[in-house]
Amino acid sequence: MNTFVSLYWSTVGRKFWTALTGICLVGFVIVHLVGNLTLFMGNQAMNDYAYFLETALHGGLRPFGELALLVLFGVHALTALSATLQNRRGRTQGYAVSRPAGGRSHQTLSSRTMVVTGLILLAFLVLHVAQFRFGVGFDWHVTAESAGSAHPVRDVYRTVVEAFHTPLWMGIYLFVMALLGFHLRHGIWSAFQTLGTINTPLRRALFILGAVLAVLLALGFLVLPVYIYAVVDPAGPFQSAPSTLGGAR
Amino acid sequence: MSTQSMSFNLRVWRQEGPQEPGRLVDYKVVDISPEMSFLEMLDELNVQLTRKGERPVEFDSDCREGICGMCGLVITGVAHGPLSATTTCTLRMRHFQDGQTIEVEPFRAAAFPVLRDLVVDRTALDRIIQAGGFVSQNAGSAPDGNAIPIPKDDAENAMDAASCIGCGACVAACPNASAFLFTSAKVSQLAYLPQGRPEARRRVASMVRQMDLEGFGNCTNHGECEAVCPKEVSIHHIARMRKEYWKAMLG
Repeated sequence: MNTFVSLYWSTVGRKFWTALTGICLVGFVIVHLVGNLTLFMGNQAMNDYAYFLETALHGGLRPFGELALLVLFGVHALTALSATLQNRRGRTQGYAVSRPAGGRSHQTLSSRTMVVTGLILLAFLVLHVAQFRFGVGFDWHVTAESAGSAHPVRDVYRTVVEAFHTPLWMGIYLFVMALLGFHLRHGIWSAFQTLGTINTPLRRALFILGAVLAVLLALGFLVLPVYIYAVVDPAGPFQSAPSTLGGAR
Repeated sequence: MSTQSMSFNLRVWRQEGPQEPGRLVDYKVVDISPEMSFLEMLDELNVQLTRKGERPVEFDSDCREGICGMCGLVITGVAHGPLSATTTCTLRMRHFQDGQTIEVEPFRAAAFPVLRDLVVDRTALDRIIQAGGFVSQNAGSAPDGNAIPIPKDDAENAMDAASCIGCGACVAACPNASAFLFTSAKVSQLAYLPQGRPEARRRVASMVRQMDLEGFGNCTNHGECEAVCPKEVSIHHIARMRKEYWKAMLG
């Protein structure tokens, strides 16, 4: 009667996947932010962190992490888009006049624009990965043993500093990170509600805590480009060899 | 008591049948008492239309005391009008400004086809309840009172859920035309009680499946439903339904 697909891909079942992956992605975003903040400790700290990520678990952490993120983002976006298309079919004839009821409603501009902010974030993600994961980098030999070996590491610090001295990149990042906060303002509490947080005081607390966390995360990501643009010397010093000497790859 | 009379500019949705296109039509009503309910004001409009030989505006109503769930209109863009915890029939004209323009539209959802004017077909909600199936009962003599212990909080929650009158305002107000609040209320009123446990897993899965087949949308936690619900059914029942659904998926 209730087939496997109808159970796990129903309006209730499918949103579990959106919420579960969403919470995992918030966790990822927090870790990402902490990693970014190593930049304040200088190029050694940030590149050491990058070296750790590349070599942890005998180099296994990175491919595993990348695959996990691909699945998380993929499932999150697919389930949410599929639900949005279904919602469009739910009301074919709209209202001539419609306004929020206010009162006990949790509706916000953030909740109404989840699919828009989500799609922009997805487009940004492609750009971001293309720029910092697959883009131009500079070799850096972190330790004596890796010096001259076949496994040099990218000078992440330099890539980041050079990127954020371009006003266009800076503008894009500021805009998208504000949108991230907007997305999470509804996303965080909503994910817990979708997973079945039935306690009403807890739900109200999450509604507020979600907003606070969203603002903190957005601010954390916003501070970095501004700091680099305003404070960090665009000329270095960098650990990698100058690109004019052929260090670029 | 105020003896003043009010007048309103109405913009009412008129539609001949399910397949015909509809439109908002302007009417003016005068000599409306502030103590009239919204439906009594529409009755006045219909008297006026009948005298002119026009077809009256069709709308649903039954008890006119806020307990049956039959009436339901979207008034100035809000289901059941601007007053919270109120059905259309218990909304009074004193809650509007004299001379105000009031838009009156039917509850809109693909699963609620307009039959005529402001009347929509809400039998989709009945089919969701039917999909819930039966509750196992011991036949025979009446059981002893309090033979089944039920915590006070559970009894209260079940009663709160059972106060849903099935009017469909939650669907009408939801930006996604989702019937989650209605369905979750019908799930919760049984799920909270020991009598509802034996079939709980099958019940929630079947009701959600029927809800999807009817063409309702997904819940994205806007919470508009709770804000317009005349019985103030809380969205915590939606979370409760999802918790029941977990058990159905994993069990």
